[in-house]
Amino acid sequence: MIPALEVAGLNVAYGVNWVLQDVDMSVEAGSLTAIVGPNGAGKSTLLKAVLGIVPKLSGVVSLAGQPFTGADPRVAYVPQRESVDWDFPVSVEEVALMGTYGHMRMWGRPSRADRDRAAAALKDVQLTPLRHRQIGQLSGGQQQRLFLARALAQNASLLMLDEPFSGVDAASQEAILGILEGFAQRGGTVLAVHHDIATVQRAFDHAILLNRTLVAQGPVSSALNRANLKAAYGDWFDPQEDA
Amino acid sequence: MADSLVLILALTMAGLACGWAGLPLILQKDSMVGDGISHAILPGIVLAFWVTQSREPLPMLVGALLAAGAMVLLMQLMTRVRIVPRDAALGATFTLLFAIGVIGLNQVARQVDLDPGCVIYGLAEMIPLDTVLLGGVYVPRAFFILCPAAVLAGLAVWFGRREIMLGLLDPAHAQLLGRNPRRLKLAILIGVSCVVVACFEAVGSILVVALLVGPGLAALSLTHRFEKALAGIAVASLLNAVLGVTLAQVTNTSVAGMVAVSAGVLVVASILVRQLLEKRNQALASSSR
Repeated sequence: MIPALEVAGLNVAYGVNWVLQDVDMSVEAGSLTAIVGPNGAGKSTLLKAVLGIVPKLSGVVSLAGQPFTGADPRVAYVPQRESVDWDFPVSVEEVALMGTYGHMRMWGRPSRADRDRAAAALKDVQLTPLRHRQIGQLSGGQQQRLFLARALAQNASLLMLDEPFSGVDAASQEAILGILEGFAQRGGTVLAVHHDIATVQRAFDHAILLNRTLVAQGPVSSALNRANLKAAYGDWFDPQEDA
Repeated sequence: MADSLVLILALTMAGLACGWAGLPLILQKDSMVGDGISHAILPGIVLAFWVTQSREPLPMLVGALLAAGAMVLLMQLMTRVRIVPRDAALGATFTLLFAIGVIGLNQVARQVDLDPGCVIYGLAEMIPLDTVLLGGVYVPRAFFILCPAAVLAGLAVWFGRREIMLGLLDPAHAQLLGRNPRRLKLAILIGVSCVVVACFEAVGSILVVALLVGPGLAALSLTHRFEKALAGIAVASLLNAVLGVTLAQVTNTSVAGMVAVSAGVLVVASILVRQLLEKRNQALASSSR
């Protein structure tokens, strides 16, 4: 089976600081894959380098076996909540609608079908009653669900998320996980950066363990075994706390 | 009276052009870039005067765009060296270019009929007097520049609003959908440069700086929608002009200066109104519990 996403020989540096070294990874189509690692391991940088937001020193990225250029509406991205300007004068409905702009001509107008798709996506994440609100008037969990709605409206096959559970309560986390599972069940692939190993072990099926270089990848049970976690987290890893 | 009306009309048009073009700058947290551009274009304008020995608008626009381009390029060169933050690079770049412009202006002013003070502070008071006969009616010359500037800025921001919101809210998402967020930012910079050049001769570069940010901030304080902010900018521009011209006449001071003061007062007033409204909403919400 062709992987949903493949990365080979990825190297990234910020100035003189080497952030990612020779990372090879493969994301299985239809999987719920988590990128795990200690602080400063380069998890978010890995996503951003794949998307072309930060420049690569070297490395090849393939999407479903084809070279990935960084401009492909089959990939949806949910950024870290902290990186979004929540004062931006835009409504919940308008953000969901932005998912449909991929096939819209520049300067064009969304069609009736686009509006219906955005409305259906908002319904899927249970934000329909809040559709007229400005995005800053949502709670943390609702804001994450809104960006998920945008991704659903995009009809993407690969969903990349950067710390989707940061700053959300337990109920919201379960709601978000439910949406991600539904997306994977419909044939989509999820690739999420996440720092909590317990959640990954419970809710994801594959993991990529990273600490500036690839430590392990594969099904969660084998990739996140004690030896690999020790190798990635060093002496800081406390299995009582995290496992 | 008629002169006051002409002044109010002209300054409202300048407010519309600058306010609408400045809104995307505010949204991308680059308000100071507008300030930078309106200062940095000075050497370009002086260069155009010096080459053509006239105040024709087209060479001025080309010169100003070249200078704005030089500012952006210099900024990028500085920020590539990672120890220079973006705001510091902007501060260093536009002051350098502005200083070169002031020196050049003093040199050129000896050869061309050009008053350095008018370039910087503008001479709004002259707008009603500098007229052109058109179909038997004396029309202020400034209208021929300010009116198209306002209309074009309005059309660009209205029809480009979806692309502006898409590219500025989340550039990574826009890029995945095949857009080029860098090109959008460049287009915004070029648009702002054009508006600054169109307006500065009539109202001066200081007022242009105030109008790029003031009406937009006042509108954004009171609305959460892009479209409503565009309408709010129109209202704020009219209020700025009426208040500024009236105050200038009452106190017998500079019109451009008073309109800039009015723009600042309106921003503070709109923030206060918003806070009052929020407090009232909180009080209503807690009393209904």
